[in-house]
Amino acid sequence: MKKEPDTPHGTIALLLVYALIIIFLWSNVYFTMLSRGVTQ
Amino acid sequence: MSVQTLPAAGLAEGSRPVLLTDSDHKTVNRLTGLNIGVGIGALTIGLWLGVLQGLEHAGLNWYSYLAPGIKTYYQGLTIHGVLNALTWTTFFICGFFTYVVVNSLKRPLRYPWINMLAFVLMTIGLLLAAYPLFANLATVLYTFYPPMLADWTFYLGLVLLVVGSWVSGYGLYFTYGAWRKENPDATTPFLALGALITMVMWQIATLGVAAEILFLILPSAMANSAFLVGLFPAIANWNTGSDPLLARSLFWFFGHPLVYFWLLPAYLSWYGMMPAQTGGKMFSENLARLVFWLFLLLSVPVGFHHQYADPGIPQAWKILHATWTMSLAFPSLLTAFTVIASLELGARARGGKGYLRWIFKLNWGDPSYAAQNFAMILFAFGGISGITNASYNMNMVVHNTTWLPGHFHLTVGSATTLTFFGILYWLLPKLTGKKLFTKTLALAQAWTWFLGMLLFANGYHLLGLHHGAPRRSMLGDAPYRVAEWTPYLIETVVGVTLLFISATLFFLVVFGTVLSPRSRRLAKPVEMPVAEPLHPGPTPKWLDTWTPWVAGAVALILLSYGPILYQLIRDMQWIPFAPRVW
Amino acid sequence: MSEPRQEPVPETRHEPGGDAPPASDAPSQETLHVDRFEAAWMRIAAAVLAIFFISILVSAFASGFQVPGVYQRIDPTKLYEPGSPFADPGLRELAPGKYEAYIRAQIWSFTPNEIRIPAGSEVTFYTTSQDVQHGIKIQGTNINMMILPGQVSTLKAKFDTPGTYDFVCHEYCGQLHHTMYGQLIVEAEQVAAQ
Repeated sequence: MKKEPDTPHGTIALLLVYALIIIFLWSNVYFTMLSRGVTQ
Repeated sequence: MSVQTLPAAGLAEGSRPVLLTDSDHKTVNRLTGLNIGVGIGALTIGLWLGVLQGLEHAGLNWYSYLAPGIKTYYQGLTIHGVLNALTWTTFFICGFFTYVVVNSLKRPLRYPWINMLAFVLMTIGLLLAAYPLFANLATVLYTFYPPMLADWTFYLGLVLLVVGSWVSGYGLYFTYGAWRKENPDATTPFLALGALITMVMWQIATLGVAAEILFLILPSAMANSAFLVGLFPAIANWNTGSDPLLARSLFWFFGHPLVYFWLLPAYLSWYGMMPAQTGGKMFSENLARLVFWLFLLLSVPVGFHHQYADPGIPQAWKILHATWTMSLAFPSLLTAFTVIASLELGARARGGKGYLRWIFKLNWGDPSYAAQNFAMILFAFGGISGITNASYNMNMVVHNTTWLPGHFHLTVGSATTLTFFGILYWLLPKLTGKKLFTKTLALAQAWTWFLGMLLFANGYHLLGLHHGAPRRSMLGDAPYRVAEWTPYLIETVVGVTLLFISATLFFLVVFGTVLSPRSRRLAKPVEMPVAEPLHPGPTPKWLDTWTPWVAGAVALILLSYGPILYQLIRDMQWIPFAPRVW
Repeated sequence: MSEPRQEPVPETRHEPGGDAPPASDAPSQETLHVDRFEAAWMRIAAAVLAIFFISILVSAFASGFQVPGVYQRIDPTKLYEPGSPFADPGLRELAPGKYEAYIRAQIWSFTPNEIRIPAGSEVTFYTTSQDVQHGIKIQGTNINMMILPGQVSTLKAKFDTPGTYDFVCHEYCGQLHHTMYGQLIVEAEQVAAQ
């Protein structure tokens, strides 16, 4: 008896945006690290 | 009043469900109120010291106005950390959990005197530690790294605070055990389960800091006390020195699960209460349970991610902890989906449409709801900077810079604290029987905290990332301060100003509610919000069983800490404590 | 409120007050039903975390963006004895363009607090503390280490761009912690060659 109205469309939309934000911000710091040089 | 149903099968001989009487409610409410009251009292001092810190960084040193009370920035910073991060949190959580467990199990405390004893121990500990803190004898920050050495009363006070919190947990375990005997086949209600899991995790975690204090620091601190040596001359021999790396490792064994002790009560409210506050339901109660069990399993064996920059810890161990830490991000990301989906159910029930427009249909008019939703948004960013911190070598970019206070003000300062404020906005009326004073002030408090924290955290994150400005430092007086810092400092000062307004509003609401006259009595009683599951049904046994999860947690800890702690203890050096440096 | 229930199968559990139990198979009682979108999110989250982790492993273990590891224990009470590299800390040239820098940290200064090197130099830093815990962060590099009495912390960096690089103490060490800093001055080629 699973009806589709319970599908969380809004949650999915929001989280896809969030995933992009996570990737963008994390990568920002990752590339900052790469630009500052090796340590060993 | 609630009535327990009698399960047909498996009823133990002689056990009988115990009903919650009005007197039982009074007992619990009193304990909850006492704990929360002390927590708020601590926060009153701690929060406003934060304002001074922010201003100092921007060059406005107002500490002289506090003399002779607070002598230096660093003393204020120590008090800010101890009162906000250790005292406000621990007291609130013990109070909140006592309330939640009783009202979720619908069963009175088994031995109320145990929970009262807990409160007394915690308060004595607080008062004992307050003495050296305010006398400037313990300006060692809330991490108290040796070889810095504070007055012995500071450490003993912390020990009593922690032991008291253990006793609070024991009181809850006895209550749960009694409920279990009376309800052998029932599934533990979600709210009670989450509280109990958090307590168990806390008791495992605090073993680290207890060992650090009792074996590596307190004896030497006592040997440093003319008063104690006068009483018992043999104590003078106890000044052995300590191994700073071992001390750090034991502290951070505790220090990471500490943040989950702060976070899980917020998750508990977000999962199990908030959806009810916006017309929603728990999207997946079983996943919520799984998340809590995963935190029990994974919260402790990760401490080295606070020690990536430490010498003396092999990279291999750091990478092992990094692996578990990245896995630990997973239950939080799961929480994002499950909680938001639960809230979305409510928004749609209230007429929300579209992919994102439904957000406007959430119960923003309820300050309890709004504060917690803002807390979640702030935490979304705090979680990202947390994953960054956890990312092994990336930590070298940000370690010990202002990025760190930026991060943790979004987490303990918002996810935890702003959520606790939100909880108070129904719990205070519940406990006092009076209307919130007032809904508008409380909403304003939530908004100003949200906006203030966004600015504050953004400023500190970027100042640390781009310019490496160090944390825990009197930046206003630092000779290496440069003009490039100024825009970020201005941003943080605007943030701090909003936070100051927000804190003031919070205290107005709290004291206004507590002190308001009988005429502001609630028309009808407030009940603890409890979210119903979207798909009610049986819970798999493995999500309501303790032994495998606790055993798994212990096994992971032994694996991830056992060998390296053994090495550190075997190779430890007795490095002398330093004379007072503040 | 629920009525007392009969238990058809010993394994099955029923929640008091719950709905009618799902169709009979005992195994489904123990499995977790996950909404398919939530399951998709779980896969996305796991993939993102995994990619992050692999990027970290590659940059650290293959490319040399590493964190401090184990080097050596040292006796902080003997730092000044003859033969200790920290008795007379400073820059030592190993080969053209390759240096070691020994920095001793104490309340509230670094010794030395000024280091000059020609551009293009690679410097391996060794630090320890004489008293309490300190820290060091060399701005513009990935050098970021805790400095503990009893331990030697070491990392290396290459300095191609001329300029002044501040290094600060970032672990609270007492009342003048915020004044504890130094400068690494990277000189352009022709200056160094004179």
